[in-house]
Amino acid sequence: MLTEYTGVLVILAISLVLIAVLLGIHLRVGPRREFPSKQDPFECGERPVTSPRRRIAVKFYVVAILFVVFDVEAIYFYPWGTVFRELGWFGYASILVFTLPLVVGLFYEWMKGGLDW
Amino acid sequence: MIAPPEISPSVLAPIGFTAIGAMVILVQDALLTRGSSLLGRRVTPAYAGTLNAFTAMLFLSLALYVTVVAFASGDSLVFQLANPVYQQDRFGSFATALLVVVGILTCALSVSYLSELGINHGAYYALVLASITGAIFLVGAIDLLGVYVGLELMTIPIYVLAGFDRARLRSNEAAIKYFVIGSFATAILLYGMALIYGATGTTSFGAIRDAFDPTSPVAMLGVGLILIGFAFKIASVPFHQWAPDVYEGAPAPITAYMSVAVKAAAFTALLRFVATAIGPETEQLSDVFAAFAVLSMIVGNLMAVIQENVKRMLAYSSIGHAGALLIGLVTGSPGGYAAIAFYLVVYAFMNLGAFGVVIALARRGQECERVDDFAGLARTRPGLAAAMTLFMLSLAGIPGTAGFMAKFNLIVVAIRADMIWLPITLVVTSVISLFYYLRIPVLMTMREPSEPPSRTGIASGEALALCLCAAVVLFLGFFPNHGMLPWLGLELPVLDWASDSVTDLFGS
Repeated sequence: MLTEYTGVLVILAISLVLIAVLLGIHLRVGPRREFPSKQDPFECGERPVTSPRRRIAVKFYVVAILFVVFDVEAIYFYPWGTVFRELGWFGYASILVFTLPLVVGLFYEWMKGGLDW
Repeated sequence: MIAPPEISPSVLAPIGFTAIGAMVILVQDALLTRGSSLLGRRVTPAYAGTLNAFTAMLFLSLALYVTVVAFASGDSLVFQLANPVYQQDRFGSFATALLVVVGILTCALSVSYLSELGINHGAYYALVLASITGAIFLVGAIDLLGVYVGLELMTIPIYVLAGFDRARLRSNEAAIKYFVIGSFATAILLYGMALIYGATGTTSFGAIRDAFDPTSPVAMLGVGLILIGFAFKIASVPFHQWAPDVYEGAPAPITAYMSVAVKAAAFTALLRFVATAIGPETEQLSDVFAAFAVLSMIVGNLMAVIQENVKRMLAYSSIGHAGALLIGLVTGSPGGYAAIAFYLVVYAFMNLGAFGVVIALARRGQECERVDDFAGLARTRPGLAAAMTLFMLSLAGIPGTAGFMAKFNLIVVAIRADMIWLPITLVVTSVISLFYYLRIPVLMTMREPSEPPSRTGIASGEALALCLCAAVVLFLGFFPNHGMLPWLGLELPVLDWASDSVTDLFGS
């Protein structure tokens, strides 16, 4: 039964070797010019160390909640999609029952201006 | 082709009505654009709130109707997916009817309160209905997962509702505290369920009953953790610390709803769990329940004595009542369970009534919740003062009110079960409770009002709800079992209904 997963093992090995080779070449060949801002964890102009206690617009929160809701919805949709034919009308009705409250919630949020920035 | 499970629509009818009602209210509120006009009136927040409340009460009435029909038929129907999850029997229908009535009264009490406090947002009634949906699912759940889903669906809307007065710090504090402690309790409950699943290999109540071994430490640990989770929800000592803060901070109608509906639903689910999954005769459990009961009665009633805030005082009193209710669980007999069911009905009406008076006294932008606010009320608001006196007497358990009948039943059952100390504790703590309950009528009649009342009228919803509560408290006080509605010739044997309903738990 484990032999089914040989391919995964091969991919794992190849990727490890590939990473080692690429990093090795970089270490040997690449030029190095170091200066302080290059030593930051993220060198994109963001200060890497700040106080976490700052105010964040509450709108991000709404977007985050929406994202989670529809992400979870998608998780349920995938397995349903794979057995769509086998489940038939019952499965279709079930997923409608599942989706309806989400749609109502989205409608409410939309109408209340939750999506207007 | 996977065969669809057989689902009879009537099993899910009460849940369906409340769930659909919640969604209808959301859509309706979103469509009611503030400032436009409808039926010849400008749509103000108050007008939209009233319409939402009517929709909520309409759907709750439909749910009540189907529940009463189901109760009258006496059938036991099971909602089954892969496993049986939800059962509609007389016990569930009895509790469901109570929850739905509590929901209707909560909506009726909320309408003008929300306007007075300026928190008339549309999601309110939808959240109340969602919470009731969860509570109904909880009381009928016959699977640990069903219990979990129902409990969460019941409490998550309440986390939001407790913080609904979002401009007030206390309300925010209540929401956060309830959320943190509620999640904590749910996690403990879930851990207990996991252990039971590990010990018995199933989550279904009936199958747990067959596989349950009271000598196995894992199984008993699981049961213990589940009991702790429930003890948090019913606010029983030593898991009560959240209750006073949350009850004080939440908007008064939500406090009323929490103290009544959540307690009733959690108690009913606990009864079903103990009776059908573990076996009420398990001795270790009786000791635990007895300890919970005695501690709750003593701590709740003693702490209530020193409170200066009415909502806080009622919170501690509700902890004391939770202790009294637990006496019925200690006996583990059908009689004890029936006494709990009856007590829950009585408690619902008298507590909703007491909170209803607090709600009716709320004036523009602030609540009337200090004990001193009640001074001289008998002169300025005689009707409300009379109602408050009745509810206080009933909560204390004075004969002639429903509270007496409820406590009397419990005491009789406990004495029959040869438990003398629990009734003695109940009686002694009831005497203590008289001090803080009667303090309010004393203040109302014997002290001069400190300031002229700023709000004199009473909204029709509040008036109707208070009248209904007062009528039920008086009616059940005189006719707990042989009640007749004088003009309709309709018999109302509430005690018989309670004892009929618990036979479903003990039968078969």
